[in-house]
Amino acid sequence: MTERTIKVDMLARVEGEGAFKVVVEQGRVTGTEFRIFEPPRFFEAFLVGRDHNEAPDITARICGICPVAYQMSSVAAMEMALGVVVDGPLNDLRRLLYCGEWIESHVLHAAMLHAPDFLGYAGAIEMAQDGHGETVKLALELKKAGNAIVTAVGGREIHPMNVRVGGWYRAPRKAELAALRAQLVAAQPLAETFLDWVAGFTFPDKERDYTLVSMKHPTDYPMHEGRIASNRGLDIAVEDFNDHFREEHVERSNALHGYLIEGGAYLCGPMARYNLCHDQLSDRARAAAKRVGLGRACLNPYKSIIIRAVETIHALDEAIRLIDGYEEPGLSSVPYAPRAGTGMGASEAPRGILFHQYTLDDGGSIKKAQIVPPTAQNQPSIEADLAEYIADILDQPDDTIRHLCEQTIRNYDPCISCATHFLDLKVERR
Amino acid sequence: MIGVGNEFAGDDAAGLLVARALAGRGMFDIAETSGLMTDLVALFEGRGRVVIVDACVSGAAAGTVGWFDLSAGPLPPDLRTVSSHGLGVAEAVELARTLGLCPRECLLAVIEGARFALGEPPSAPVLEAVPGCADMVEAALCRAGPG
Repeated sequence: MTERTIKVDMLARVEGEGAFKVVVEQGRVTGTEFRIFEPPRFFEAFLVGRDHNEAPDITARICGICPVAYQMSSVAAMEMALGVVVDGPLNDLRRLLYCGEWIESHVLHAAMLHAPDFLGYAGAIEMAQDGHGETVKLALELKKAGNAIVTAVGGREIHPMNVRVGGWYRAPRKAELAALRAQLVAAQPLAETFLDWVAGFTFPDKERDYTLVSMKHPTDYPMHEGRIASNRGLDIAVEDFNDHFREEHVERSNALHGYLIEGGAYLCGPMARYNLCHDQLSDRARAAAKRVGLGRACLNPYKSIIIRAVETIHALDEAIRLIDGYEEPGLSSVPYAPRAGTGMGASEAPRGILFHQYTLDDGGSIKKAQIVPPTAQNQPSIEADLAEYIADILDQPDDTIRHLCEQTIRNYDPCISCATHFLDLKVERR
Repeated sequence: MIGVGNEFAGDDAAGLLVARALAGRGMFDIAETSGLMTDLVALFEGRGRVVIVDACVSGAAAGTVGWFDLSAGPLPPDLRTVSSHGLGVAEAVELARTLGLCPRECLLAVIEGARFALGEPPSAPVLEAVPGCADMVEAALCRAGPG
């Protein structure tokens, strides 16, 4: 019996602090652990006693990449607790803001974090230095379209501050959004070129029979509202989330592991959305997916990079559609009075479902908070992927196994945010 | 001037505090960011002279201010700015350099932090260092020469 350990410190291109260990005994994978050191529950404790209107801004600091997701899920939960209905242009603006975040986040992940895996580079800098500089520039230009949306609607590029319970502190003028439109139209061909680039990569030929879970909306590709559905027949209201999903503490990780009460691990994120809601993509996004050979269904997680590029095209189209239909609201926010109550909200962060639940006291202060981020939900699925996808390369050198493990983890765009970036990868061979 | 950090994570707010201390002093633009590489590269574009301020952990006494000329070369490998989310200040400058987008003059001021836990206020040594650091940043940005 032999035992080997491979350790990698300071792996770039993963958000936050994490570690991975695979145990190989007599040529067979007998255990996988994807550990997260991030303590998201600190935020929940930090929120207790704060005013309900502070939650969107405070939770937005959980992640530098997806602040809009935190804002959208938190305001949805607060508005349910407070009996506030936000619709019409105030609601459309939220979707528009989310389009901006999807573009920013997807392009960042696909171009800077994930693409180097497929092309054999240590990172984006090495990739840019070795003949891909123009593509990296294109990606940065494309990402600016997302930044421009977030700035115009959210008030600033990073950590938008315009979102509030009930609507907005200030609704943008129609002319401001019209000025943004030209930049989005100019970004559309960039997004097509970007899709062609990632679709040209070589993908490991691996897939599993995933339980896919995403939000689902009657008419729109899911972003900030809808029900929660799966490819196994689940179809529930957001407020029933805790009746169907459970979080489990495992000693090795600071993030809770998410499971379906009815049926174990599941996957959320772009691949789930694409499979469950393909028909609601924009015409151009669907045509682009077809052009690059992405079928209506896709269970190869390595191709999630293609789906992110398709969703970027969709987000641009959707943003233009929303701008074209925008009428300035009479009020920037819906008036309401604080009251006691409990509310739940969910939205589709770029990397998957983000669920929030809050209980408020009579004055609108937070008594209890629950945040279920997508990376915690995906942890069991990541571990299952690792166990299955490296099973047929265990006779390969450690570097080959390590590379596939890292690439597999990055399929999920794990956001273990608000920390530095250590991934300690260990393969034990016994 | 680019202030990098997280205002809810103790001394990680240092860069933002310097940015806010400089607000209203005019003559140069001020931006705040969480420090993502791509956002920093976007902020560099079209700028001739940039000063970035971030918190760091190097083992020095809390509140110690350090200066690095990133135009001249990469950051020392043992210096870790704390607000980088995987790809931060050092990587942003290197990527910008590779793409020909790096400002001609790119300076980094770092303030040594002592605590970074969520919900903690900045430590006293960091708060004391902020005004002096802001003065140095202003002097660097406003001195004569092409910007």
